[in-house]
Amino acid sequence: MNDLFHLLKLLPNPLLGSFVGDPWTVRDADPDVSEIHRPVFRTCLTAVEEARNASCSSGIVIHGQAGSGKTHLIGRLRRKLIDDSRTPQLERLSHAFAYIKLNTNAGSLTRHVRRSVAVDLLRSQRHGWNQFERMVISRLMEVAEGEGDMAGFWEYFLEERAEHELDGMLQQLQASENLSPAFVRVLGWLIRKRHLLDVAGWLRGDPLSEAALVRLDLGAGNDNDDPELQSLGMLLDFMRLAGAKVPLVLCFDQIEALQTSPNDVESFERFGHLMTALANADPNLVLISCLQSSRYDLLKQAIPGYAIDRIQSRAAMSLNPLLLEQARALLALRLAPLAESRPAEASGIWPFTDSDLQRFVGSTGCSARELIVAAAQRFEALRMDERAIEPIDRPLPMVANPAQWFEDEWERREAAARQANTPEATAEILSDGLPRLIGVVAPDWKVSPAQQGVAFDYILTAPNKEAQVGIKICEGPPNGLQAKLKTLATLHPAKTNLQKLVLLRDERIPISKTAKKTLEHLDVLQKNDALFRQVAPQTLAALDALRQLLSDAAAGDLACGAETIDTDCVLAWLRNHLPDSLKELADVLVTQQGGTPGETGVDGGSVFLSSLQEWLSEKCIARWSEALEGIDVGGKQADALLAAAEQRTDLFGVIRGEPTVVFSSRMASPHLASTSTSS
Amino acid sequence: MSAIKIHTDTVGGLTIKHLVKALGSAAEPKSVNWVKDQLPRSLLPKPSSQAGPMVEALLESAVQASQVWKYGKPDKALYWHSAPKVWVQRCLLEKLTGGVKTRSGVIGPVVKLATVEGLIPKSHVEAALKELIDEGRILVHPAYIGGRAKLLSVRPADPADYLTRVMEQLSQKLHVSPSDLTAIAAKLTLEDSPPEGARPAAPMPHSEGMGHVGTREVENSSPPSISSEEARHRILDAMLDVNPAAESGDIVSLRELRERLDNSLDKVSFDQAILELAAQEKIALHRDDFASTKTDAEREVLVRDEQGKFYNVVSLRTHS
Repeated sequence: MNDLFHLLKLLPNPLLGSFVGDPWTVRDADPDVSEIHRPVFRTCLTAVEEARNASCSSGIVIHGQAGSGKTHLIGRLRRKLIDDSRTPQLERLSHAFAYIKLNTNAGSLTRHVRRSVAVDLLRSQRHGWNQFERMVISRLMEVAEGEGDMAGFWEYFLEERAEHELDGMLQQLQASENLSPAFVRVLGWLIRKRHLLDVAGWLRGDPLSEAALVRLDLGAGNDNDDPELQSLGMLLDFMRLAGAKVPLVLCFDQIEALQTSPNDVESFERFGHLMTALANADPNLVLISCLQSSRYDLLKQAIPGYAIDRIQSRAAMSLNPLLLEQARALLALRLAPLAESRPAEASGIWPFTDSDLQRFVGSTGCSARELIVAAAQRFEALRMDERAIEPIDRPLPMVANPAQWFEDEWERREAAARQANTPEATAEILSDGLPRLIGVVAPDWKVSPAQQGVAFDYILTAPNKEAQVGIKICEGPPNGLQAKLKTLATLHPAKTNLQKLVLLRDERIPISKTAKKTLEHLDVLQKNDALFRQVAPQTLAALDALRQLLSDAAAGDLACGAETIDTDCVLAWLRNHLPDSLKELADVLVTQQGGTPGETGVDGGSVFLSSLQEWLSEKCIARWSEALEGIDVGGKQADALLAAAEQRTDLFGVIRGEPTVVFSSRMASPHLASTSTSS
Repeated sequence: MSAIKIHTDTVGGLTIKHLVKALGSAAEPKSVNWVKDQLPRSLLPKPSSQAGPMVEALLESAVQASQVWKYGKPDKALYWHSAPKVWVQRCLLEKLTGGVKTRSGVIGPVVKLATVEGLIPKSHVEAALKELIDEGRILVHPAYIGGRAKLLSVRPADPADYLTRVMEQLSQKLHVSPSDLTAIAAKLTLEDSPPEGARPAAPMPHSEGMGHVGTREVENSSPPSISSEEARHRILDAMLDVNPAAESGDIVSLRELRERLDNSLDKVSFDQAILELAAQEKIALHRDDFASTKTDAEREVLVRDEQGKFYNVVSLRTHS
């Protein structure tokens, strides 16, 4: 016994930190027991085959309790479906895969799906072309009746064929698949490898500048179009481009994260409508929806029968809790790194005994997460406490300090959100995050999405309808913003019946001084007591962390040890630990009118900072003297501005010296990194 | 329009965070002086006579911000890191770590502890106990044979406890030695044991009923109209009635299943049969991770196992 204790003390715990949060992080080398949930996995593969061969769309719903392995299963599917070989460009694409984690607001569901699909199709592969490039070239090869491998065809094509032939082929493709003209124009840039950042941004639905739209030869578009409908149109273009022989596999995870409260049925209903629209539009789509089994009754109640029929047209299956032998196989695999240290006569689950295993599994089975957490804790006990080696018959210890766990989890999420924070994500962060923030700080306030056609995004209603606050998220291209502010200016305050109107915009994208009409409408609104607030990047990062934490909790994917942390628990913690930046933002939304006419509410900034920002958005980097000249600032104001810019490391970088240099500080977008080439 | 006021207070170098951290190690509510003694001396003001009032003022701010909770009378306040309910529940659970106790055996000492210092009213202790029972963290067991008081425990009822007492009573009443009684019981068990190779009966739910004794199933106090085996068959049939796709791996709502069988199975028989089917690996039970947020009425349609976990859906194991 003593020998075992001393041996274990020297070994690392191979069971710690092994949960799958993102199926794209599952690697070939990661341990996987293929027998576990095999029927569900096979059903998914069969559906993909059928969609390809018989051109029939399929819907599969996968139910499972928290920690049952839904995301892990999607990771297994992703590994199987994505050709990660060294020569993907030799084979034509046989299917395309996208993972959509529904940690968003149901009101912007289609935009979120479009963004997720675009990100995954454009995601760089280990070798060669990404899925989207292979999809486009496969289709062009069909049009040109090309044969052989794709790479050879494409090389020959680029060398031998004239430029105008490419346009002709694209037009043929447009006519045969009924693709939208703008989409085909963007495909043209993509295959010519020009303006790739703009192309990726447009496909994802990022707000593009006027200059970017000009570069892509696209008009401003009709800004009055419902952005949800625009995104649905883009999804249909993706599906049509894939064609009849390439099924698009869309995996929806954490559907319950769409809910704003445990009894919210409207979000499920919207999800059902979108699934129906997609399934009706495409003959070879595979829709896989993962749902926590705790929400089964509510889902059935919320989604109309015709939508259920489409969502689970192929099957609805469950990921059952693991039984003893499945648990043994999983544990043995996870403990494989200890094989060399294991005594010769020991079993594959060493250092655990059969009775340990039985206790982990219980009388009715356990989820994979419960098993791994219980085993990890037992492993720690065996290593840390000599007495624990004797059989124990008491409950396994819980995580020692839940408060510390929360603090660490928040810090980790906030740091990740800060890292990933880009202006392109601002609209989604605000639209999903604000209702959740109000739920934390003012749970007695009601948050309602504005009805279609209304110029603002949310209406907050105080208890007993004492007051109503309108919120407008001022994101998007300048032209669209101008139109929306114009409408708002004509409505507010006479026809809006609001006590307060708050306009929010990402501080990193100041409204250009050349956008005179937009500024005029803004001025009118501010004179009518509307509060224009520019939200600092760190506030957006904190809001992003908050919404992700709450949506994971709603989906049952937040676990402290083996315990699933529910939303109430997260809300209680957040109420006591909300960062100051979010408290301030919440105060702006739900307190008595605080704005004064003309106040821009820039967090700690000055009017010159936004001028500098705007100037740098074009130049990116410049000498300080040039910048001062460009924004016409001098004397003492210049010194104050330099000091202010140095303070705002989230917006600017300053290198003092001869000469002093200033540059625009922006994190690299993870989405941009996902394109395989750069412009 | 109501205002949101969330603020972090500091006094000198001392912040609410320091207080919360100090109280984090306390097993029970503590006085201002105790809290002060836990704080680094460097953070306390000089002269030291100011330290107590300063810590107290900051504790009051922490109470306002719901980061610390206040206990006791105004002139003898104590502070702790969690709400009174949490403290009372912890006390109640601690009383039961030693084994089963009657209600008064559990609640009496806690009420005394809570009221003698004026920490919280008696009614709060009773409410906390009710909540623990509703959540399944404390189980109510039947009274011992011949007794009247129901028993409370944090573990499922152990039939051996009941059997031992019955044997003692029989031994006294019949003037038979305990060893003779044991021999007679063993003989009866052998005569009535299931055929070789038969599965032992599945564990039973442990709320009001005792479930099973050894390998023999015990009839409920109100005799069920059908056998356990018949109940299990009916449930398996009803699963396919409620959702024909269950055969290919889909899940079935326990609420719908219960409704379907409402006329023929009462709650106890239904729950018992579900747990037996799970133990026999014929069905898989899926835990309801949000049971704690549901009302009593909503939880009533769920099935609870001996560990207090709630389940809301089931699926057939044929497709695991």
